[in-house]
Amino acid sequence: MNILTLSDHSTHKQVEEVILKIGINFHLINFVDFKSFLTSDEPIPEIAIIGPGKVSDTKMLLLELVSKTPRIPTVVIVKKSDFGAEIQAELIKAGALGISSDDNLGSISQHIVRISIAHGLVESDFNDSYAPEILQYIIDSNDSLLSVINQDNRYEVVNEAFSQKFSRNKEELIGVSPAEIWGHEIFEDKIKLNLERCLNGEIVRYKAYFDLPGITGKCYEVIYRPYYPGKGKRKFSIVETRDITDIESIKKEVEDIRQKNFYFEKYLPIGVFECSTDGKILTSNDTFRNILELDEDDEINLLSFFNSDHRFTDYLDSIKAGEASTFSQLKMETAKGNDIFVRISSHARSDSEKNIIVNATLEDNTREVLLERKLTMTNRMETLGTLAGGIAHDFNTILTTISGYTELTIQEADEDSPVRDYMTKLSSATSKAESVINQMLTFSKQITHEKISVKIEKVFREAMQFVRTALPYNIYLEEETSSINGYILADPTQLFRVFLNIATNSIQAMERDGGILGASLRESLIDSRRFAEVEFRDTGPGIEKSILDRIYEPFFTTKETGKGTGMGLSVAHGIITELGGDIIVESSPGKGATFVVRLPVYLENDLMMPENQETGRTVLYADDNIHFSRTISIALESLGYQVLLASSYDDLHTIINAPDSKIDIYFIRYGFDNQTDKNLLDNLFRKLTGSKIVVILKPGSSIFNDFARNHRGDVFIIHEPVSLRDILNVIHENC
Amino acid sequence: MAAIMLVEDDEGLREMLKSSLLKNKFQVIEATNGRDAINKFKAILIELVITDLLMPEQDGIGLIIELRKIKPDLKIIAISGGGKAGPGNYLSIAQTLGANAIFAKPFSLNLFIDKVNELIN
Repeated sequence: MNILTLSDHSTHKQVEEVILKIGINFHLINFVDFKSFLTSDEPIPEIAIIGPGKVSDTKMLLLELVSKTPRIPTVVIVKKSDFGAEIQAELIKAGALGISSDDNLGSISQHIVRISIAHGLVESDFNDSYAPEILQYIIDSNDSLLSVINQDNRYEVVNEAFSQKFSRNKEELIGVSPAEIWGHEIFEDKIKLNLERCLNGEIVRYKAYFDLPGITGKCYEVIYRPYYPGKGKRKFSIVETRDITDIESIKKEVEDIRQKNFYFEKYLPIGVFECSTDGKILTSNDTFRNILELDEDDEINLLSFFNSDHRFTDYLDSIKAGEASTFSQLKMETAKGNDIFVRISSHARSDSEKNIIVNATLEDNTREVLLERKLTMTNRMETLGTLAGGIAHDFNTILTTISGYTELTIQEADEDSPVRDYMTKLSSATSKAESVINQMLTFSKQITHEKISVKIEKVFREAMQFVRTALPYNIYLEEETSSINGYILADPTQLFRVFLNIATNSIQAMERDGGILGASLRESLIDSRRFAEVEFRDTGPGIEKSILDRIYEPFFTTKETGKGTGMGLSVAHGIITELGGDIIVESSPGKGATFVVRLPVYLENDLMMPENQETGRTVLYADDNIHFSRTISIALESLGYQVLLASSYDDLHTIINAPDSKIDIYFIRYGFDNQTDKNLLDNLFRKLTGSKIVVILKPGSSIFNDFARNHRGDVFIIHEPVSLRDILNVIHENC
Repeated sequence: MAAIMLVEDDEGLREMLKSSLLKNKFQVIEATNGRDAINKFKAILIELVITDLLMPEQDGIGLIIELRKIKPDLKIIAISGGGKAGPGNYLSIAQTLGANAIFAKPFSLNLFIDKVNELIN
């Protein structure tokens, strides 16, 4: 194709560069003016490029070119200063097919290509000689190994990538058999078969890991495509071998993620969900659904599970993207109406449409929360017990003063004075106060009730007799007693009070509407241990679960003021658990309530066991003050210790040297038996190495400090005067 | 007339018991705790010690042990209001240690005075 450029030399050069970049061979004809061209031998150009010059000159030249027959398509270059809309319009009117500014000559190439195609100037060129080159370029720039194999199983064409991989010239490979390239075995086993299938018109496609020269561990996709050019006289297979290692590894990653998601969804033992700020669940896993007892595919809103606890709902209302929060002990109600306690940890994010999405985990902590509450309650009761003990002591002292003065006043008052009557009433009020304090003390376990072996039937019958007399007309009593073989270890008056207390509660529950009070005594076997069970069953309104959890709390009462102190059940519970028993309550609203007092049953043989097993230790007390050591000995023995006394060194040696002496702790008063020889004591201590020795010293004496140091860990010092409590403390701390 | 030592840290109770004892013609020596009691104790004069068990400084148990050393035939009445957790029941320990009588607060003043009379005579 001939292109004529009429311009100055520097523009010639620039235009030439631009046109060369188009990549098609053009014949460039460069002249400075039109006249010189006309007088030359150059052929008539298919395209002309003119300018830049004065606009009027350019326009004249343009008119001349486009008036030729055939008319010559012309591109005009104008100076940058002339490159305005008005001038462009003027030039187009004059017949310009393209206008470029002299500072943007690159745009000429676009005009050339456009004009070439529009005027059919390039069509024949491509068909003739350029197409194969372009095709070759395309296949050579492909990273896949491409080859064309003919029906004689010989390479017809290979691309650059192919030749490079096998370090052979493209030309060299033409006519070669794939067997030579890939090896005979692979050719016979695989390639030949694939070629046959391909030549039968099938597209063969497979993935495989194999090695290429210098490259191992890669995955390839191989595709055989049948190619029948012309009328199908000759058949070819176009074989493409593509490295898909990266694709495969991405696929594997995606699969891993998918599996992980599957795991999260199916097996993760923690609930995971995603919700919008209005509580709509967008995604959730199986555990989430299990916790909330939901059926598969239920459309759900999280907020409908929070009936009483609105912390999470409030949080969703005010949430901001990027915020993370954790809620503990959130109370929820499951789809099946069960109360549960959960922990939700959440994080809010914005999605692509700026909506806030909450991602969160859901854990069921019901068990832990209930356990913790129980513990808290136990702690509270213990604290209260300690408190009650302290208060009781002070109150008892005050009450003694009150009752004392009351009695003194009664003595002083005249026989017929009303003061006597007043004082008697004051006295009975004081007794009532005393019984309240005793209840508190029982609760704090400060009073040690004498436990004796009790026939529970007797106590039960006595209590029921009492109940019967107090029974309102609208309550019917059903009593059933079986005899228990054995004894309960308890204070019978306490037991009586417990039965009475529970029975009274049951009666009060039915007071309004009447009902049946079932009271029975039976024996039960739990884990091969025998228990006596006293059951009180009423047909009253029942107890709500929230109340049921708190009935043993001291001072907790649902009764109106004056009807109950809230001490009854907590005291009863305290008594029964101290006896190694339990009170079991079963109730739900509308179904009445059943209280079962369960107490261990002992046979007579069991009761022969010594009571103070824990203190069955032997204490040696060496002191020549016989009176004092005797009092100590009596006190210790009363507490279950075995006490040996030594009033002289001779005694002490005899006891220590006795073959079966087994002493847990030695108390030795320094200087007893008028013996102050340190060496003697030192020898004694050596003999007692490994034993616990307590040395009692005169106040302020440090005489023994070095001995104590020599017998570190085993020798303790206490100072006179010694109280029983000091001695008990030392024993408790060290034995 | 026999003297009685009254050891009690609560002033109200001490006053009440003192008035009652005085009314019954006893000589009363007061002490507010065990240590105070040991300091004021006169073996020849005092026939009976009435002591609370839980007191600041030296407590009643220690006092009973001390007094028994000083005067083995001393009569002792221990009184107690229960009190904080400790090894065993204080009153029963006091009894084991040789208290002649024990009274758990609150107690009847009449019964108490009867016991004092019984021990002194």
